[in-house]
Amino acid sequence: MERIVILGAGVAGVNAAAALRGAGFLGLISLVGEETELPYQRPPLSKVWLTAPQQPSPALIRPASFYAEQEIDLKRACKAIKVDRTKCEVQLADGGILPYDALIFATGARPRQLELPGIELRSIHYLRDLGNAAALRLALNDTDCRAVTIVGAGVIGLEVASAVVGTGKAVTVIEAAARPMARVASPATTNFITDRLREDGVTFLFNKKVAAFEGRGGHVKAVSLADGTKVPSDLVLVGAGAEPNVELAQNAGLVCDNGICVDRDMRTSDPNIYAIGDCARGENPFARGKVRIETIHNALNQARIAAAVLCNQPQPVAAPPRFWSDLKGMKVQIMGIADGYENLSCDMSNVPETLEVRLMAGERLLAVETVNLPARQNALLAEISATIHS
Amino acid sequence: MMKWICITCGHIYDEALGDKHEGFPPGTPFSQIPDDWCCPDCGATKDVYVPYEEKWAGLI
Repeated sequence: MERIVILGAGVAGVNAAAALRGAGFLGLISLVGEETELPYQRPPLSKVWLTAPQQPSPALIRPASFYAEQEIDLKRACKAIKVDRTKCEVQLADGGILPYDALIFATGARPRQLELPGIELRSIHYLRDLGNAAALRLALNDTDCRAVTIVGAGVIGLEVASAVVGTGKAVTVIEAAARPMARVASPATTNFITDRLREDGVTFLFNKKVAAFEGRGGHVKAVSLADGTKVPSDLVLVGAGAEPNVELAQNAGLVCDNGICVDRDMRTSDPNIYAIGDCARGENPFARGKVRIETIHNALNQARIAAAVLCNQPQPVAAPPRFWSDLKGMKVQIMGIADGYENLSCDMSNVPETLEVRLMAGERLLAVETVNLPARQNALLAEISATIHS
Repeated sequence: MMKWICITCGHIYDEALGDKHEGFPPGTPFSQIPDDWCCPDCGATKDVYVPYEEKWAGLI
């Protein structure tokens, strides 16, 4: 094997390149990214980055010198437009051709777009990349922006609400489900988080569907709900989940189903092609059935698995999915997958304010969610690691 | 006496307290609530509730 092409220069793609070198791969590595910046970390973009007095420099995934040092051919502002599986080559928008012996899709995900009347109004934002974050930051700094409405109480929505509340703006979060982060966290944890954010001034509207956005002079002015309520809004952030970037894989004839389907080696339906990170869907030893996990930890983990497989090395020890968020001084950490639990037990303390929720199925510990207990994580890791699904 | 939590919305049914608005006196076990009862907050069915245990430390 001489040439490996990686599509996507986010955390999955960059770490795959690094892991390949770490595993001793000496051939050519091309890392193709659509953005112009050096590969950067996305998590800060939905947190204090938004309200810092000066726009912070992006935190790089690897130092700028890394790519040359490791002889990784980082192609920035470069878009792949076709994968030809017969010729084993990737066609680029600039006319270039990249032949491969192995190809890794690390194409990530994009914000799910709402198709509602008025969605084209200015001051309606999505948040995924640096450009989105810079635009949102600028809009939030406008003194005329007094009422911020967030559509969707997922992780992005809550992080932005946490960053903005307390800066003198009204913050309203609208959610179609009955609670926030319903896909990733148990109700015990989301009750805790919702209570704290309410105390901090966030208004939550649950079980509410958005019907339209209303504007004046081309700018959004209100969010209309299906029940007729109007929520005055100078700025809207839509955080309605993410969709995997699978089109290139799909057009190349790879099997896709809410993500590019992979086996436990991260291999797609073409044995020379792999998929990792947000765009990949497959089995996980800690989950029932197939999952597509949108976390940094998963991107890193799958990058290492693909690199190990490509270099004929043993896979890293299976690690339970992990995720963290910072919400208004609450360090929220989730380990394992909150699916199929049959009972919940909570240990709570108010001085200092902490929470530990254990999600059990019978005697089996499926996941643990904590708030402000970073020092507990290693012990929990050992406990959950013992519960691998066979 | 146990507590139960609705996994759809997080509503908690505490057997010790019962639920006055729903007509369940204090001490009503969850098992004695009719099967067609729904979560008073979100309308989810009774079968989405799971046992819920809460232990407190610190200053209460």
